[in-house]
Amino acid sequence: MSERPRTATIVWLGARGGRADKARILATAAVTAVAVVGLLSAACVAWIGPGDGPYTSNLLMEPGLHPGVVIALVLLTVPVLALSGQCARIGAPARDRRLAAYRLGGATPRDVVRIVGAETGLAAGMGSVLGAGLFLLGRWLLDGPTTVVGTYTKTTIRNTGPDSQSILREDVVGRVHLLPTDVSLPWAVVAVVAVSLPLGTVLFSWLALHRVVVSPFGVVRRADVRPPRALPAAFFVIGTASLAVFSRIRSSSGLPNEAVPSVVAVVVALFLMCGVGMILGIAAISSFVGAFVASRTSSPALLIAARRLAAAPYTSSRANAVILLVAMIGGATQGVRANILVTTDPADTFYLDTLNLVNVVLMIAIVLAATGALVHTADTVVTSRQNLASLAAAGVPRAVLRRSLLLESLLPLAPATVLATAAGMLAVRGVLGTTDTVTHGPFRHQVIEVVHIPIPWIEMGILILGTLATTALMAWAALTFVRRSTDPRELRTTA
Amino acid sequence: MSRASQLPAPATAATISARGIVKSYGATPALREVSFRAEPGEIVAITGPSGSGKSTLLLCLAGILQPEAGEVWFAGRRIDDAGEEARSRMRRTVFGVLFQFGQLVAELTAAENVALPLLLSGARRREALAVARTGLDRVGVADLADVHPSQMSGGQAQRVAMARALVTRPDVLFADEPTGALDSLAGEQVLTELTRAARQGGTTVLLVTHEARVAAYADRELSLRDGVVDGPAHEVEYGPGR
Ligand SMILES: Nc1ncnc2c1ncn2[C@@H]1O[C@H](COP(=O)(O)OP(=O)(O)OP(=O)(O)O)[C@@H](O)[C@H]1O
Ligand SMILES: [Mg+2]
Repeated sequence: MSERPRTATIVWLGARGGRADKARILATAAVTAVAVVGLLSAACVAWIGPGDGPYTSNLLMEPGLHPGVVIALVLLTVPVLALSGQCARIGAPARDRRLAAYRLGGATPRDVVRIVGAETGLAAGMGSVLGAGLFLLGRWLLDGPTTVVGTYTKTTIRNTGPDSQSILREDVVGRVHLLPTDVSLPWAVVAVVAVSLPLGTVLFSWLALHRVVVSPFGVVRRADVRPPRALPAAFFVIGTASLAVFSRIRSSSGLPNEAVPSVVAVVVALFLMCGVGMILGIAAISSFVGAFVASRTSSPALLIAARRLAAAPYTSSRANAVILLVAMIGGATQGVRANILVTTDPADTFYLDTLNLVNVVLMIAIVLAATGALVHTADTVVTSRQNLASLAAAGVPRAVLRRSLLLESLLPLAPATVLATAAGMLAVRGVLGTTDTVTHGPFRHQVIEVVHIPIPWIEMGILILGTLATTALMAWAALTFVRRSTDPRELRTTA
Repeated sequence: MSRASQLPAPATAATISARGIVKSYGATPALREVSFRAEPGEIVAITGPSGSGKSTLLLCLAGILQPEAGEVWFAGRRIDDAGEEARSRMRRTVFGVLFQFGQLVAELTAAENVALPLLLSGARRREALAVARTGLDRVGVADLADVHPSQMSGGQAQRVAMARALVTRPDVLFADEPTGALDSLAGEQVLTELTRAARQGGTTVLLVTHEARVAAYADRELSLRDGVVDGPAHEVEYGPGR
């Protein structure tokens, strides 16, 4: 008998979990698949060559726009990867208990690392294979009638011969595509994407394990024990307020703004302060809002939600941080949009088309980020089912429990989303200015006019309400687990 | 165990001993210079009032906790300063541990739980499960092989845990109140099985208990009080400061 467990044993112990562990593996696989599809699509756009196309969309036709499209697609995988981190936490308490039990059964710390690595690798590997398969299948299926929206004929007529009389006519017949399904993507690129994503996931889980000690008596997390510090949250609030004051001062001067480097540096610094403060400070905001509401409300649902928030401010902070980051970027894009709409020719639809496309990308990002709230709420319901079952057994109506879970995700998010979108939008106004100049009129009789860039109130409102509504919808979808989790039999549950 | 010969061995093969063990939890002292020794095959009851440090002593001897001062020796080799990896590996090969409850992996069946130490030591699944079934049979719960711990009674789970603790035929079995959660009849049965299996395999048993009835199964008793040995002097093999 060798001293170390066989690989088969490690994989078996990794995959051998309960309901929550299976959910974690499936969710991780699904999210990895989406990320692989996203990155391969980005690669596809990057690999569009002179011989490819033509496409219906300007974004794909103009080589100059390809980098922007690629960056947008790659950026979209950021919330997807954040979601993957969220998925890795599904059923964490049950997994911690299982790992501790393995340790008690004789597993060494290194065995535990390998077991977790095997589980993550299995999940991400499955997802990667699935994603690459779906991508290739989709490309093959779509490279047919649905994405070939028409054909074109390119005719070149050349007069040749010494008398330039003989005519040579060349006809090239091609197909017009909706998507770059005709691009031949090197296999190496597909392989690199399909291998590096799961490897990265395993590496990430390995790094995360370094912050915990799996002892035979349980898992001790080194973080999460100290109360959230208020300083980052203060940075977030003060930074946003400073950006607002700054923007107000600039617009009241009435002069066309110019991007002076020192001004830009100040704005960027304030913006970074907001962003970092927001990500690190959301737990403190949760804790503060929870304590504030709990001591004032008489609604049972609000009281339960606020007490839970105050007691465990960190639990939802990951999901919330991603949503807020997307909201902040969304606020910035609305600022850019307001500027471009005023300063460009309304007859030129190119800008408007592009801006609309950016908004579509933003909507997808919001949905992806809000999916983190879905995963988080579902996980909360399942892991605290003993608690919920005892509340239900004590006579708290399920509707109140549902409402309190919804409020738990919305309470800290509502004020933070307003701040985040404002910070993003104000930062853009700080850099691009609150006024600009436009020239009209015929040549030599041009008039230079100073125009005010309006604050995009409507877009901002839609963005904030849309983000909150999407998050609420996702959290609500996760509440389907409440009925099962409040079954009195769950009172006896162990895992 | 090849390096054992190079060390000044205070004892022979499979003897477990401790000298001058000190352990505290923060400001709370749990053990204040405890020395102890058990010969191979001996069954020793560790007794004393609640909070006297019985569990802490057992955990230090089993290498789950590391003492702040003092030494733990097993089979002529010092083990308390070994790394976490090495101590874990000892626990699944030459030691067995048995607690009051809650040591089985909820997600695994009884047979898989018993096979776990073998699997972790590199055994093949089929062989490990066959050995596990024999072990379950030996403690009278062969019919539970495919049952999960959540569907067992406390006494059944404790027998499965015992089968796991004994499956590697360990040199030393550490048992902390193994019958504490059972009624007297079930406790009686588990203890009878435990001592029988230990005597058959020549296993040393360190049995923590606060019940005189349980201590009666042992060859001798080591009594603790407030973190020090509270017994007749002849039970103290190594005095403090030696
Ligand atoms: N994890 C811990 N953290 C802090 N103090 C602890 C911890 N475990 C034990 N102690 C303290 O150490 C002392 C010895 O505890 P120990 O568990 O060894 O006693 P025991 O003899 O096993 O008691 P019991 O019969 O109640 O199980 C006690 O004062 C106890 O409060
Ligand atoms: Mg004890």
